[in-house]
Amino acid sequence: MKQCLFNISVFITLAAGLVSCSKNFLDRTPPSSLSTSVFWKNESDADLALTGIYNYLYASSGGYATSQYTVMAWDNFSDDSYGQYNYGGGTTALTAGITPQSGDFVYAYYANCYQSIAAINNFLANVGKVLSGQKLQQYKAEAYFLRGFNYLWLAQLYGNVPITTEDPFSQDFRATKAKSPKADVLKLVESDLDSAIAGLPDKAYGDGHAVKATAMGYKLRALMLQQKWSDAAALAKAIIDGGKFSLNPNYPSNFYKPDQNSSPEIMFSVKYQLPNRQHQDVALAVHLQRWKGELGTQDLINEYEPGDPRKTMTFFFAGDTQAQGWPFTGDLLVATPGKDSWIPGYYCVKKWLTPSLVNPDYGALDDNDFVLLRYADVKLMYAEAQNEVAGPDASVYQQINEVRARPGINMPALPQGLSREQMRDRIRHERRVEFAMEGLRYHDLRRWGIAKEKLNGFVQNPLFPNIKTQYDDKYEFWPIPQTEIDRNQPDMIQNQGY
Amino acid sequence: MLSKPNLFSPRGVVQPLTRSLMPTIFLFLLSFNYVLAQVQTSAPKRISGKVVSATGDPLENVTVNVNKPVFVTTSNAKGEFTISADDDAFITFSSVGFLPQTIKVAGQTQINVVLQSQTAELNQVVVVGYNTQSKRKITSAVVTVSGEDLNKRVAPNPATLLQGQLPGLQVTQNSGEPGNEGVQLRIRGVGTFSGAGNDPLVIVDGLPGSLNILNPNDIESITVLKDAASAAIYGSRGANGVIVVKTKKGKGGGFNISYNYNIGIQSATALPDLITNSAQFMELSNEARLNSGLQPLYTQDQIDQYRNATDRVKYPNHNWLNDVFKTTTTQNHYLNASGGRDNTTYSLGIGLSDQDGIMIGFEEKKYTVDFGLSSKVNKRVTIGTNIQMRYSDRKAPENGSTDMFLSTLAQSPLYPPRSADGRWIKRAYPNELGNKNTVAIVDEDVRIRYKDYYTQGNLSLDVDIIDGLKWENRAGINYDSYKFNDFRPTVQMYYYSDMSSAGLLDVGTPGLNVGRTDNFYTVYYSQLNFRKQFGDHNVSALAGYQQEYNNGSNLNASRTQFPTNVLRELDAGPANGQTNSGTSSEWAIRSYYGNVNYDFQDKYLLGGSLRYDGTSRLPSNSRWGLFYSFSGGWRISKESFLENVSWLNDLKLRGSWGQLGNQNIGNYPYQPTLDNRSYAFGGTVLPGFSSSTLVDPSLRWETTRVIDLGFDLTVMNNRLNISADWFNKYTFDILRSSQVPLWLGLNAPTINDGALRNKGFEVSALYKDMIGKSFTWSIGGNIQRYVNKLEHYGKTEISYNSIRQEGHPLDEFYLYQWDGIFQSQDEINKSPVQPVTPTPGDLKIKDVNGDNKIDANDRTYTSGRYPAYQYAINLSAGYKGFDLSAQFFGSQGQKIYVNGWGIEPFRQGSVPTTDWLNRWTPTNHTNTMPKIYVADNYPAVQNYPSTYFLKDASFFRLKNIQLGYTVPTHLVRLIGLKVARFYFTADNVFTISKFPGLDPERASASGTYVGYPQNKIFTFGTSIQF
Repeated sequence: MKQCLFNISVFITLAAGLVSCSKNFLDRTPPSSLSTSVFWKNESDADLALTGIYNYLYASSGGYATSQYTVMAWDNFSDDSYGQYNYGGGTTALTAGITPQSGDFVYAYYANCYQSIAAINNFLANVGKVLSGQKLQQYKAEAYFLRGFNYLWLAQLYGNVPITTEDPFSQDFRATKAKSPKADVLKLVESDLDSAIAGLPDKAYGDGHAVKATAMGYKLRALMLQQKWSDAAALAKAIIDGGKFSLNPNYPSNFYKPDQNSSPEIMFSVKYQLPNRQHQDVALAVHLQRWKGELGTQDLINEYEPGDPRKTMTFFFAGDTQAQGWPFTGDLLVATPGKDSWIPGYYCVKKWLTPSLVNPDYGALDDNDFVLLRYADVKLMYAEAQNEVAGPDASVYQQINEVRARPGINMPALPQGLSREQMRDRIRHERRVEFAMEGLRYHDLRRWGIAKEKLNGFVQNPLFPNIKTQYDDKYEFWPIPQTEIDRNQPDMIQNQGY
Repeated sequence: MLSKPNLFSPRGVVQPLTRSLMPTIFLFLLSFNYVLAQVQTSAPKRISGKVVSATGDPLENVTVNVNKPVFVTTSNAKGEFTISADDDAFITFSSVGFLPQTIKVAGQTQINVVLQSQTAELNQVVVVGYNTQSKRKITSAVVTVSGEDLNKRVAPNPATLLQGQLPGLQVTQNSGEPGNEGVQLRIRGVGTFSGAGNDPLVIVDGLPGSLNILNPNDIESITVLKDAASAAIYGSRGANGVIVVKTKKGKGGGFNISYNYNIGIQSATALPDLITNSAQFMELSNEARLNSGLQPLYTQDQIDQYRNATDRVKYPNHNWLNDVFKTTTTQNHYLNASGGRDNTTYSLGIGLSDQDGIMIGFEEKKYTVDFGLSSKVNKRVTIGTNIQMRYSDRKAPENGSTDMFLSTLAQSPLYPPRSADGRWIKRAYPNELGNKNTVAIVDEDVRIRYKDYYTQGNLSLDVDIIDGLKWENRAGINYDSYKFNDFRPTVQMYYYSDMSSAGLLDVGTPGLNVGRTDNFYTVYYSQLNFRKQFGDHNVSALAGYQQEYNNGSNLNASRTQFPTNVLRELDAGPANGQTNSGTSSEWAIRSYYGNVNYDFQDKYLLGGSLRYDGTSRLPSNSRWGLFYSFSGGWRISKESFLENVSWLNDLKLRGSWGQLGNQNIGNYPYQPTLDNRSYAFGGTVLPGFSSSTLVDPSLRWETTRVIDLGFDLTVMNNRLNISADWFNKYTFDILRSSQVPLWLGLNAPTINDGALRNKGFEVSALYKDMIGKSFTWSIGGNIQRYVNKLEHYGKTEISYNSIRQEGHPLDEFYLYQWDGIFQSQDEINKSPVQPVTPTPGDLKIKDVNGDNKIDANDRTYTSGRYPAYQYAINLSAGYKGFDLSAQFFGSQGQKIYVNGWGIEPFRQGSVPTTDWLNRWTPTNHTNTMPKIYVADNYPAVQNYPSTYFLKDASFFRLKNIQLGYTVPTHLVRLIGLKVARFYFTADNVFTISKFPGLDPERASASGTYVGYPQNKIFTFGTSIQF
């Protein structure tokens, strides 16, 4: 019995010890996430944070097989392509319209751009803690570029949007905001891009970091959007005179790896890298060539001048085989509309296809960068702006003709003596064929004020002439997502017409 | 980098110590056995006797419990028993259904006992928090169901069996999928809107554990603690109520073996009626596409080919539901061995259930072991253990049951899954829309193997320190290891029209994903339990300390580009491009608790509980919370002025008030961390970070305050029992995610904000009677109702189809109001401007605010988020060896917002239901269905959330009916058995509901229409005791 009592007392002592000695029992920290409290202490943190803000370029759009910068999905909003799986939401936008409840790009660009802006604002508020001098200026310049880039997207899609430039962690998350007018948003875009131009290195683009000319190119786009023609022409000329870029002598190699890495023409892109950075859900070749998520319209095909090699560099045609780069074998050896997702009346996309891929399907790998800005665009923007300023002078001819005369394209120079209006049409034509399936058409049509003319009542497939698209004037300003209106009551008011 | 553990920091040394101590302590405790076995006792006297019922029938299996020397046995089939006892010992006779009786030995050697049948259950002992209590003394709101009642139905998961059994507990079974039933348990409504915060705490044999992993046959009883007074002892973890499970223990007196077997035949309770005539389907598809501004898919030639075909192999009218839904069987085996001698009792249960899903590809084999051992090693010391183990071996198609169902609907009737020569078919024609071939998914074994190993076990040590004072200790470990192997092969597909190649089967990226998740949980408590009678005063008190620690971790890896489909392990694939990931997380709680109960003459009852909890999930300056409760009861029937009221057997009035806490909010909600955000610069993926989530560094406990008033009434000579409770449950400082504006660009923080009130009542009644000598019958029922109101929230938040606004139910539906169908262009012109320009046949939306324009301001509150009431009716009857029981269950007033495949036409090309034959057409001017459309973003219908999608999901069903026959004892004894019973039981026999096409019971109030159906099961079974 004594033994028993002894044992019990030992037990009590041990139990009591167990209770009292573990002081930190309740202190637990996340074992695989870095606490913000240890960040912004070393210079290397600036690199980690800068990489962090570029990462937002991978943001999802909410739809299958489309991230925010899956550029070709934008063509589904235009008269260039038909999106049979509604990638990006363009098919719906053209059949049924755009409303505050719309998803895909209509929601994603708004939400994603502000997430990116928040990270950038946080970066700008903190980077001064670990960097100084020249290096600080350059890192801030990259952040300013990305902020201007995001606000430009917001301005060109939604027009009037709230402006926030403060560290988001310093703001009251219960606050509501009103929209700022489009002009103010664009003013911010210009000033951010000016800061970027001042601080970024003046060199060729390569590894994915924005360079001076990248920021200049985006400012050029902002000026074009506002039809500030003479400023635009001058800025475009500055880029051209800067001499850091040139047209790629092999047009298709702008669109696949590894050739993209050394293309002298690419001024900004979203970079991918196998095996760890793949495209969302499936390879581009599956999205475009196997499933034909985007199909070129007859109207676009008709736009190509006879003999323009960009037509066959951008699309496949019935009867194409391996000789034309058709990637399929077996019973799909010969390209045939009506077979395997190819809807008759449309054209299967060839651009963005890595030539070495055979039978792309689930499991195919590619890491083609999404090209967001090419030097050819700068040249054509110069031509367009200068034509508006001074009419079709020699420099206008020179820039557009150089794009047409690129090796392998070799399209003849434009005839002399065009009127300003004729030249404007030629430039619009050139942009459409040069940049087909690169996501610029929809924004160009809106910028030119001819979106309704082109997109309302448009017959996408000539085999079904009774089926026509819809476009409404109010889409000049996309609707703010209903969620945002609800969360900012009563300050935020929906754009007109929704 | 590896760092050496720092033995000098408290963290470095204490935690390994904490973990290594427990096994040491218990090894040490086991040594008591050896030490104490040597304690001597004096020689007792031999006593025999017989136990009979009031009608004189011998009673078998009556527990005969001697206190000196401590010994337990049971009576045999003739009611006879033999024991040894001291002269001054007391013998207690007890048996289920009878009032226990205690007799003093006082020199007798022959003791015959007549046990009175226990028509009133007042003396039943109920397991409550950390303790047991006699039912008549309970002052709080608790309900109990016995394992026997629970096992009248047959199901591998015990949680599904609770439906309708326990008033106040709302049980919703989301699906019939084997091993993935998605049972949602809610005690007294939705108490909060914080993260994972509505699940009740489950206590198994005294310690937190899992209900789902148990074998129902191993359950002795389940008790639900509903109010604050009963749950406050669980403090921080009791806010959503507590479910207390007691597993079976052995009984003294020999060795018993029993075996149960049953086999069930199951099918879906409901499936939609589809259009399976191909020509009709093609015409409807073309009509819908024209209506939606899309190109038609089928030419007139193709339609005619199908319509006029004589070759129905080439041009079938295929119903895919027949390929994917089957009638299948489910089998359960259960073997139990129990017994006891020399102060030691034990029970060992082994179960095996084998369930094939009614949807192809789903199956589960579940093995369970339950072991309980209790040994009184000395007159003062009892040690014991309870261990439950479960191994679940489950297979399920890659994307789960909802995807299987919707993909099956997204196949047109124009082709079979497989051609006559064995090739898999993707579509008939390349331009058809659709989803993956679900039969190919199953036949090619694109299924995830889940292997789930779960063990929960505890050791206990109870010491009687002095008479009335006990020291009780319990330590437990729950360990869960969950593994999956998800292989995606490459499978070639073909188009049926010309058998041309159609690419690969849609399985996502081919390759292998494997992973495992481990969860390790330890808990320990030590308490003093005091119980003493001082004349008319009864006092019991409890005080203890508890700590809990949980560590979860996971590890995942993948490889792609496998050269073959037949090997599904990592090493079979190339290392190039392989990925891996893994992390872990921890939480810990430390608690001090206490409880006092007092009564005077069993008439005036008082109780109080206290708990002081500290959690790792909250910051150090606000992590401790104090929770407490008070309760009182008055057994008014014991007052002299009621003692002579003959019809009244017992009446107790009771009330309670208390506060409980909740901290189920993720493990590190107050600690700001960085997101990993890499970018591919210059050919290398570089690491990066950004911070994108707000945190509130001053988080504190969420608190729930409950008032409960109730009574328990027994009348009519113990034939009728009625219990009723009214409650008012108020949760405040709710830990919730705040909505933030999109322009802020950050993820919302967890904050303490908001208050929610649930008010309601529960009533249950049971009437038991007998006709003649051998016909017994009973009828019982219960009804529960609660009303939910958001009392404080701050700024109103609107989600897609619901709203959180003060003064309204939580997440009340907030919708555009569907107001019929536009019959003509003229009607459209005269109507308010619609959000999407309509054409005749489209939905007409109501102009709620009368401004002649439909916009966001015309959304309005719409009822139906929660059931108005739920009810159950239980019937039973017995005649000689036959027993019959039936359970009806109903839920009234809830609505579900459903969309997509099956309820809307042509989503991903999916087959419309036959309802669409009554659609609006220019010649059929119905006002109840729109014109047919393609539900891939058809804006006139789909662009805004309207009541068009809201369906009445009220239902009433015959949940279960059972007929059993127990073979007379004298017959089974001839073949060496003690008991043999055969039964037939049917589940979900019929359901009355307005819900279209599918079963109305589901956990989510909003979402995809299709889901794994509920099962209708016909089961034949037997149970045998040797």
